[in-house]
Amino acid sequence: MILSSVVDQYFRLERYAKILKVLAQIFIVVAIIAVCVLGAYLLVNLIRSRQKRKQEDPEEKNTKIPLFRITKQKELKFWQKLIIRVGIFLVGFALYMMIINLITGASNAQILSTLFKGNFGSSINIWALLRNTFLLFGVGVALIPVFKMRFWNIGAEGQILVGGLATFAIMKYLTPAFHNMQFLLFIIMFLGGILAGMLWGIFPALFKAKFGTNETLFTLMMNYIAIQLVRYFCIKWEKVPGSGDVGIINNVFGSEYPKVGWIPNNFLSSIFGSGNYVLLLLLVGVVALAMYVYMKYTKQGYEIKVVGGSVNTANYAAIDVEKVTIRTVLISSAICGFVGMLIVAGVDHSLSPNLAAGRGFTAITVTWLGNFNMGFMLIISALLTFFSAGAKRLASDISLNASMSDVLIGILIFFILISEFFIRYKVIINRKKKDKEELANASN
Amino acid sequence: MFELKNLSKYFGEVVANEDISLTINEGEILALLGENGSGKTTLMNMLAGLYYPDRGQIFLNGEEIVIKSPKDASSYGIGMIHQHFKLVDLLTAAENVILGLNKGFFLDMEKVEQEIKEVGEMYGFDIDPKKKVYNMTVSEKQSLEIIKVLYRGANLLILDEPTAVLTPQETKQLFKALRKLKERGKAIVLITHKMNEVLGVSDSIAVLRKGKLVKRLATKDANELMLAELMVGEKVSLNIKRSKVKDPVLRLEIRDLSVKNQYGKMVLDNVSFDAYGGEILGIAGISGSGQKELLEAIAGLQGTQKGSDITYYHPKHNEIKLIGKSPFQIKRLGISLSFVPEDRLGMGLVGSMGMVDNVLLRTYDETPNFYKNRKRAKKIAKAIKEELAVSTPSEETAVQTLSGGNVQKVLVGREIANNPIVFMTAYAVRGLDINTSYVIYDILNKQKEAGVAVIYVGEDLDVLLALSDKILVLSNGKISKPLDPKKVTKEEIGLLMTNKIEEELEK
Repeated sequence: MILSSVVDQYFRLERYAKILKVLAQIFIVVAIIAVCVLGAYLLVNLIRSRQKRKQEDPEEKNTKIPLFRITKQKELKFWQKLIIRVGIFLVGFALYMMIINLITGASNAQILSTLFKGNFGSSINIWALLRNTFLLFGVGVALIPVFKMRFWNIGAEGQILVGGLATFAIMKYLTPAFHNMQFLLFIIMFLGGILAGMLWGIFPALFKAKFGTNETLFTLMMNYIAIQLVRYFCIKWEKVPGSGDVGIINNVFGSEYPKVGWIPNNFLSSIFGSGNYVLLLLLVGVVALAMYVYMKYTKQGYEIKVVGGSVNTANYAAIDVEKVTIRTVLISSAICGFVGMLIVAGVDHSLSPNLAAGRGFTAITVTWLGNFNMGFMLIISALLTFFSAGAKRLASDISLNASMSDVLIGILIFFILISEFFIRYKVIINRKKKDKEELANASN
Repeated sequence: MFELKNLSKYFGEVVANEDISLTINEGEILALLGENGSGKTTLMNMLAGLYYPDRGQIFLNGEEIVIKSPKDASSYGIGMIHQHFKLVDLLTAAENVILGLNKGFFLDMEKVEQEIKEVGEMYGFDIDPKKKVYNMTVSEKQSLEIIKVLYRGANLLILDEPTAVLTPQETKQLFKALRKLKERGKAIVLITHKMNEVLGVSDSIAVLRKGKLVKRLATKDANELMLAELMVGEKVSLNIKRSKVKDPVLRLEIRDLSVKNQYGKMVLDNVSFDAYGGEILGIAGISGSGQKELLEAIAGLQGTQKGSDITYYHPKHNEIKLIGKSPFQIKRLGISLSFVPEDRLGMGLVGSMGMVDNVLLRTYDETPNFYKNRKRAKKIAKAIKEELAVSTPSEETAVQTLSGGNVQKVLVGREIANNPIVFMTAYAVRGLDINTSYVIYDILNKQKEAGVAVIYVGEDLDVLLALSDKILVLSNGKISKPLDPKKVTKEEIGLLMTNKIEEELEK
């Protein structure tokens, strides 16, 4: 009796359904892997048996040749690269849909429409897509000079956070004094944001320049300091004791200075209107353009490339490597701080340890996948933003697990990377027989 | 007997080897001759299992074999001695020999050492199996490499540029050992681009050019000029002219220059000499004897010990002390110091940039503008391309995609466009084809005639003797007295290279 009641308790119908669903999901993933492995196994076997037959052939004795080899590809034309990139991305996208289909049972049309609803369903969605794309792109732009210099700054996340923190503090304490001079307030916020970002960049830069410290670890650790610092201020400035939530600053309701310092709702709203992000997009665009000119047409941009190409050569050419290192990291971290300021003043109007939302790390992907080309970087920012916004909608509409969405975005990035492999290299399957015939023909 | 049939290997669009058919006989020394980039090493790497051929077959005694890895190669009795030794410094000779050999779980080191000694005695190599590699000289390391492949039962020994690191005396010894190996029925392939060695030691010569086998001939039928023409594919003249020195002016005075490396070893020990404008000062020595540090110290790229002194005599101003100044400060003082360093792409050029941007390296800072101006650099790059016949698709093509010779032309061209007063070159012709080498010698002579103080660090003693007006020999960080190249012989320099300087000085 007791046993049956226990069984009853744990295996009630709803529980069954849940467990079954989880099991089904696991089963599907395992099945996919199994099919892949099986396919590979069969393929290998097929080839082995072919080789065995060859070995039995007395003439082909002792000639076990490698299955395939990889050689460098000739430089492809632009349209050929485009076909490879788009084609392989579509294969990845098909796999993406297939897996979602297997897990949730939603039809392809359903998945597509959900993805589009999540991004283009309303003007809010569209603005969010544009805004998040440009914020991510902005951080990617910030990483261009440091990565070109081969300074592996993975501290963009922290630099964004402290930029946001400084902006929030300025809004909190200076609004009463400056609410009539919003332009001045904006300038102070701008300076505060970039100075805070630079403060987070200067330490790793100095240590790298003077002592050759590894910047990867250093910048990474600075991220954690930034997160804890923001956490501390979130509690210090919290609205409701114990909540850790600072609320919306200069809120429309219950605040003396509604929307003061917000971009662009109040500031410059006469030009850009309110409720949109035109100013934000414009600012990021201007920064990107300035960076393009800086890298391409200035001596400083040239120095960055020389230092990145070879530190020895830079020394040889009488370039002050220390100075270039510090200056470049400051520029990069200033832009990150600026993006932090845009997030707080233009989007969140609040402070939280999640305000950077991983952009500092995702931007690394953007810069590298875009291969420092701003056009590609913008496309990749848009794709990543599109799919992560789509993932949220998939979670709510067809109840796809949010973590699963991240895995699937990972698969898409993987396919983008694969296309780079096929652009650079060629895989040749060795066919001994044909080669021999060719040889015979050649010698005849 | 090894037989290669139509072996081909391509790297992208580059033809490394195409349809090479070659027989390698036992009891014969075959010299594989060709300029840098002609595909000698690639061909042998396919035999050694480092590359897999794109096309073609390999036969051992008439039966086809497939070599996919160095292990396969070893099992067919093929052993390769690479230009850069592949030894573990911290291990002993014996430990290096058995490294990677899987013969049971237990190891009888004494037996192995005995066996190694026997192999050494058999072929005339004097080796101590217990000696650690870091205590060995270069020629000992080379002997160890040879014993390593012999111990593994090699019947075909491939030596890649074995004499590049040896003195003339050591080279002679090596060749003696090779002849002994030949008498014992081993097949030997010697990869080289030095013609006098080829004529001296080989039985048969195969000449490669641009990845193809041009000719296979017996050594007794060959002469130097003919081989050079086969390698280059056109007529060449092998004379270096030496113009007379006209009124030399003191430009650089180096006194008691000492440099310690990062491990605290003295790489330059109280080096003193003078360099005169209108002269070519040749510096000889086994590579790694302090040449790099010497030139870098003058260029301000190397920290020096206390008491070191370098004085530069400016044509217009007074003397300037260079010690303790960074390249940046030296440049600001208006000193025209041109420097062609040993490692071209690691120091001197930025590989990912094109010719124009690399020329810009010397000129970009001439104006105080924020924006860079590439106009002058473009002009200079174009002039270099035309005058030195740099073969590149465009002046904007990344220099790392060019061949070694073209890279060197870009670097030398830029440094000359810099209008130097002192012109330093380290191994200026390393990796260059014969014709380009002579173009470079010509440039150096022209610089000398224009009153430039040329410092030429070189490895080919014949060239050093023919080109320089004075020769210094570096050995273990110590420098010899200036020698007159018209009076001194190659053998005498060779002796000085191997640490006989102190005795010489005591006399």
